[in-house]
Amino acid sequence: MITPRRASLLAAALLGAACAPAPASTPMAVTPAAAVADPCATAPVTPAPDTVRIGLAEPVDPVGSPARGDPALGDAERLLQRQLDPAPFRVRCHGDSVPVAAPAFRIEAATTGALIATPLVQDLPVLAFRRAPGIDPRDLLDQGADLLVTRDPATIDYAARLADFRVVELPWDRIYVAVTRRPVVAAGTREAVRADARPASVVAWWDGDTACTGPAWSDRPAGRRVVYPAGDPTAHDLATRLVATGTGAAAVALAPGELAAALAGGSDAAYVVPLPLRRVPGCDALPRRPAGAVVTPLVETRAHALMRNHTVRISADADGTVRIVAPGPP
Amino acid sequence: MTFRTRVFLAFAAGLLLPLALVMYGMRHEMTARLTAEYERRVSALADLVQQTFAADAARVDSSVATIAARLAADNRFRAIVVPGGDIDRGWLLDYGAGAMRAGGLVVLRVQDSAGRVLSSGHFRNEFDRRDDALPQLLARDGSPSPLVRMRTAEGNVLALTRVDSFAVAGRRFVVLGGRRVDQDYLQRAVTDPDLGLTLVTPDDTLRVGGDSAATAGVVRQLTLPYVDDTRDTAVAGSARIMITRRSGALDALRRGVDRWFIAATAATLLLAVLVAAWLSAQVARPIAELARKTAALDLERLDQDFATERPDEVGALSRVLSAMTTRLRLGAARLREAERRATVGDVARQVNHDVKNGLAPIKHVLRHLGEVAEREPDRLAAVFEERRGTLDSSVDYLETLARNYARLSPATDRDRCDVNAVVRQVLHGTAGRRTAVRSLLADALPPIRSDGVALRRILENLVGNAMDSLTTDDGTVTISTELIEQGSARAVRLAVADTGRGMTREELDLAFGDFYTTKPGGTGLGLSVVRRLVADLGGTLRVTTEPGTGSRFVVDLPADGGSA
Repeated sequence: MITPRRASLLAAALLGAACAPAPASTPMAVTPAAAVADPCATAPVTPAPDTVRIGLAEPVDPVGSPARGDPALGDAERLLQRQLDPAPFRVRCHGDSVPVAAPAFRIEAATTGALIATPLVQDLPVLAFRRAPGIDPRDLLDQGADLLVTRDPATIDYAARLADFRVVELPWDRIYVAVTRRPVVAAGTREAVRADARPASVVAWWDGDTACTGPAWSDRPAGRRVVYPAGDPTAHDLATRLVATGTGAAAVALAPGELAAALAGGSDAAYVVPLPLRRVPGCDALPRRPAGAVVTPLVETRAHALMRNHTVRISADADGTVRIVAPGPP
Repeated sequence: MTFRTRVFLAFAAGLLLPLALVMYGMRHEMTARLTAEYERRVSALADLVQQTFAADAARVDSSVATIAARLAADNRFRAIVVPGGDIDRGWLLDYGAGAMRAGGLVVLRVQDSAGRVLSSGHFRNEFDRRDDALPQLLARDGSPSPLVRMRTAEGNVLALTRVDSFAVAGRRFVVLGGRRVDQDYLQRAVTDPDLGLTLVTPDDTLRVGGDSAATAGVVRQLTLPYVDDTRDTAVAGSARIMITRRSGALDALRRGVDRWFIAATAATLLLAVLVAAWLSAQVARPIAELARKTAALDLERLDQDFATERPDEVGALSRVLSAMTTRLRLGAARLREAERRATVGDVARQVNHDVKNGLAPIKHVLRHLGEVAEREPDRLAAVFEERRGTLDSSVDYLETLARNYARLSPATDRDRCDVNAVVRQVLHGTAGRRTAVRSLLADALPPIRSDGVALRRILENLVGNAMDSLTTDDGTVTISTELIEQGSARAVRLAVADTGRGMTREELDLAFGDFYTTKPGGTGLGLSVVRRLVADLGGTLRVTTEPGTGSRFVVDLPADGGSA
């Protein structure tokens, strides 16, 4: 239910959330959402915010069903869907599962440029999402966003330079692998990517899960392309690195669906595939690993939450996704 | 070869040879001028290409030198390359792209002295790759405009590349940069729509404008040093820039000239045919007509009319033939007269002989009767009765002989004859018939020397034929007379014209022969008799006729008194 006061705030958020300075919200009576301490949450904020403005620098589908672990889902999509997640429990950053009063928010209003999510649990703020795909994420920060989840190093660096922002490293959540017919040299991959990355470990869950295994490739000669998913700059960097080190002759971007089909066909020199770092139930949203193909871990990456000071409190799940939590303790 | 063919060939040769010469001259001259114009434009384009490459090489030189100088002065770079310094390779890896874009380049690479790639603008992640051959080749070449094919993550790029070097902390580094050379780059130099540029490297061919080198003429060729750096080891070679000419323009002009030449030739041939036909018609047809008339001449048919008003050689020939025919006609008349006289003499001798033969019995009977009267008068009556049969027989013989000879020679009795009077007699004879016969008679017509019966027979035959030729009830027959001048002589012209069916050429050729007729029951002697009678009277007969229109028979008879 939206009170008249909240409705006026929603209207203000829809009309000017992007441009207005941080709202001078009136403190409200805060009731703790849970009595259990959350080791994955950031520090409490006071006074409790009435509305949190969240920047979405990628396309989102507010009515789409959340697909956990789908690497095709961007960070913005995962952020939005996680607030609407109806699951009765969550896996926190350390891997422990705890019950939650689900879902925490629901979409109250949606326009081309904005989404309003009202809380279903007391003490949570109204979420005003600013939808601005294609815009420079730094502009979102400048235009008043309280929270932005991104992997863009330039935006992270910019936020670190701003006095009223702090940067929160989220859990490592994504691994990039090269799928080839023969082993490849993966030297310099961490330096090759322009993201917060670290050397990758073996993704045994995907490499060994029969549910994620598809038919073996035929014996026809591989081509010269190194294929990667379009729109993923890290995958692009890794593909170009593979080209530079002698695997293939040209890096070619494919849409996610095309990439899965190309991977199943096996007619290219190499495939750069992003995967969830941790096992996800089932492989419906993931490409199948061709039986017998060589899987070479390349890098692991993580996103960063850029938070305006004293405006929002978040808690990270184990898959690196952020939840907006009540501003007060625990 | 006929006269017509000769005239045609003469015209064709006379027109075609100059025409061909003019066309060839025009084609040759245009080709030469266009070729010269092409040469000028090709030279201009070659100069422009060379200037463009030189200018861009200078710009690349400047950019590369600037980047090298800034890197040499940059402490971040120094900290990275100096042992023990702060290693922030991320900055260096991204440096190439920024410097490349800022320098207006499409390739940029920073390498150390061992050839290890430290930073690459066009291929960020080729760092640490060793490529010492390319800097050495470029430094050794020393050419102002080397073309280098280099790898990028998405493919290869061809660039006009320059190299520079700098030193930091005693170590040598190389900066290699270049501008893209592609179709757009070549297109900027090609402003002439008839010329094209083709850049041929050992691995690729770029073409802008013009036709392909295979189909168009390569009119100029420039050679540039070329390095293929897409392989494991850079390989030096050469690239060619060919200026090609669009074959269409000059060929189209030649085809146009050739088309006009063919059209002009066809028109000339057609004109030659028409002129030859007209000329031959003007010359050959009258000659053929004269030949036909001359071929028809014989002593029995000297009535061919060669009269003409033509002032040319054909007219002169016609007049000569006309005069000759007149002389022949007079000679034939004299010959016939002499022949008649000779015949009359023969007949006279035959008559003399026959009369003598007839008179001899009579003479014998009379001598016998005389002797009886003298010696036996009383028996005279009996002897007379006895010999009377002989007398009667002899008289009958003589009478028969006289009748026979009378039939043999319808002797003409030429006298002054009024033609108009004879015409009126004939007109009087046609009164009451259904066909109207009109007359146009000249006044003060001089008489002719003729047998009235002969003239009447001539006129009656002609009028009868004319009336028989009419095919409709409203047809007309017109008899006209007039006085004409024939040189110094005068003649009376008698004409019979009808609006009947006329005659064809073949019918006309046969009309004056004996026993030819087109009328049922006709004897075929009418016009033959007319022709002979006219000839006997020293006149001429000619006919103008046209099938379906009618005929006009013209008889010219010498006027009595001769000269005008």
